[in-house]
Amino acid sequence: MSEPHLSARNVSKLFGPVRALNDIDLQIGPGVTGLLGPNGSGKSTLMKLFAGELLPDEGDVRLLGHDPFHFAPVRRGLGLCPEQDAFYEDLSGYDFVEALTRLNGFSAADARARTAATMKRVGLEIYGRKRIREMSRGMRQRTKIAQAIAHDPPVVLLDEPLTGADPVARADLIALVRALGQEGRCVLVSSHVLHEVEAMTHQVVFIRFGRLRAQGDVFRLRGKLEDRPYRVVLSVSGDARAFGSQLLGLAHVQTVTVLADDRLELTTTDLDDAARGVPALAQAHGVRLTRFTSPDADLESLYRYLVSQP
Amino acid sequence: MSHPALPPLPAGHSPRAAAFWLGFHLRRNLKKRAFWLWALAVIIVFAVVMGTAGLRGGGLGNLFILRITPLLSLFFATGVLREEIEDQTLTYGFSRPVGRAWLYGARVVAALVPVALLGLVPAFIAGTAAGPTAPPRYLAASALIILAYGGVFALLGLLVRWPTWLGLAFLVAWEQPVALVPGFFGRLTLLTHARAVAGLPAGESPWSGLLTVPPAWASALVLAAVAALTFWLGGWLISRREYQLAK
Repeated sequence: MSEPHLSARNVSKLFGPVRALNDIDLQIGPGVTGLLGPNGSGKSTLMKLFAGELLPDEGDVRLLGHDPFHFAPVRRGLGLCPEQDAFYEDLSGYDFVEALTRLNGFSAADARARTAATMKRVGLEIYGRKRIREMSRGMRQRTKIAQAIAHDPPVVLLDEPLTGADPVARADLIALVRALGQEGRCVLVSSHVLHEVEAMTHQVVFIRFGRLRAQGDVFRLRGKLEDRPYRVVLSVSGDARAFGSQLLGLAHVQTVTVLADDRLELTTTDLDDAARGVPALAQAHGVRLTRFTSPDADLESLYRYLVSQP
Repeated sequence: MSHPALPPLPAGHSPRAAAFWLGFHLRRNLKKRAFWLWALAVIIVFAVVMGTAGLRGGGLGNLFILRITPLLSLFFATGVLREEIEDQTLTYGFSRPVGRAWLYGARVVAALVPVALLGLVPAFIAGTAAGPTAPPRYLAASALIILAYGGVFALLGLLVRWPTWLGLAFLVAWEQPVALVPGFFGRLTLLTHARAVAGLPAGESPWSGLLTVPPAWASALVLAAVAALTFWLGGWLISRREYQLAK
């Protein structure tokens, strides 16, 4: 039977009277998937269920086809970078990662070799020798990620992995996450920073109020929002007003607004058609198109829409 | 969308990982300031009672086996997992392919070895001062009381938020006074059984002559059973319960 790396079937989780997750049904396979939602939406709870740290009150959670809470061996396939900034502070980064790698069934020599390779991979080859209590927040984040991947797990859960990292570290970590996905691992990343998630993946899961609101490719999800046409901003050299009236002749164009002598904004129901039709129309009418951008085609637009829904 | 085969684990992984985890936490525990402060306190108390109070043999045994060792067990064992829950580091061990009960056992033993270092040496010295047959009895009583109290206090650490205070109340309000009650009630305390194993006198109270002491072998069994039961119960609980710091 074909089983995804991670699956939740009708999963609900209660904390006292609060329903943190409500009837979540989702499956996640290889590649990077962004887990998105406002604060308190249930992202970390879902991560903890997949990591076997929590038990569902209803439904069934599976990691590599097994119950991660009760079946300990399956956690050999799991790498978890938790949200909290918590460590054995008295250890060096190397000692911390090596100790946790030993728990995954590696000999001392293997764990040491894996730790060295992983610290190099996360950019802590030198600074990893420091005690964790002396590390910057960015280094601590990298250490946390190192312990999650040193044992080469097929499933990696990263809960807010970029918190506290400086811009250079963020770029490095984004590249690392993408590489992990390209290696065929199932990487589930939660983050509040949408453009960083967008830089890692177009596969997303949206949760709000503990409910699954959407799952899939950002652009496909955005395309399904028929009541929300895309805005497209055009810069042209030539008569913008005249070109605007030509644009209204395209079937998918709903409205055209002249923003300036050389700038137009149109709304369209189909961004792909607009991307093909507008340049062709400009060429046919001798108008030079210098800019074609859509502020509504990104993850943030989709996110705003989903969190605005009741 | 099918997942890959589960990565293999070496045979006997959980016990081996637990042994590693024990060593890892033992090294950390022995480097902690608390351990060295307790060691200093034990040395000072030892010097004071031998020098100033002139305690010897049974008196020393009473003090160290029945008073100080239970306190040491309390302070070291109640924090076994509570500390990791508060520090939010528990997640690192629990997300590994090792049975939770094994990790718990490793952490409890790693906490009790420092107690043994601090408790067994004075017990041996006290035993040597008490007579030629006393050292093995004192050592056995000390080891068993460390295990029994260790199991009880570690279990308390799993069950309540402030285990040290509750444990202290247990020692002060139950163990110490009830152990002095003549008749059967005294046998409901671990102290009575430790006293029986060590062959220590009941004390200087007017009614101490009324206290009945169970046979040493039976008391040793009781202490061993309490240790085994509380270790098992702790392992069973931790395998079934969620542990995370409440937000």
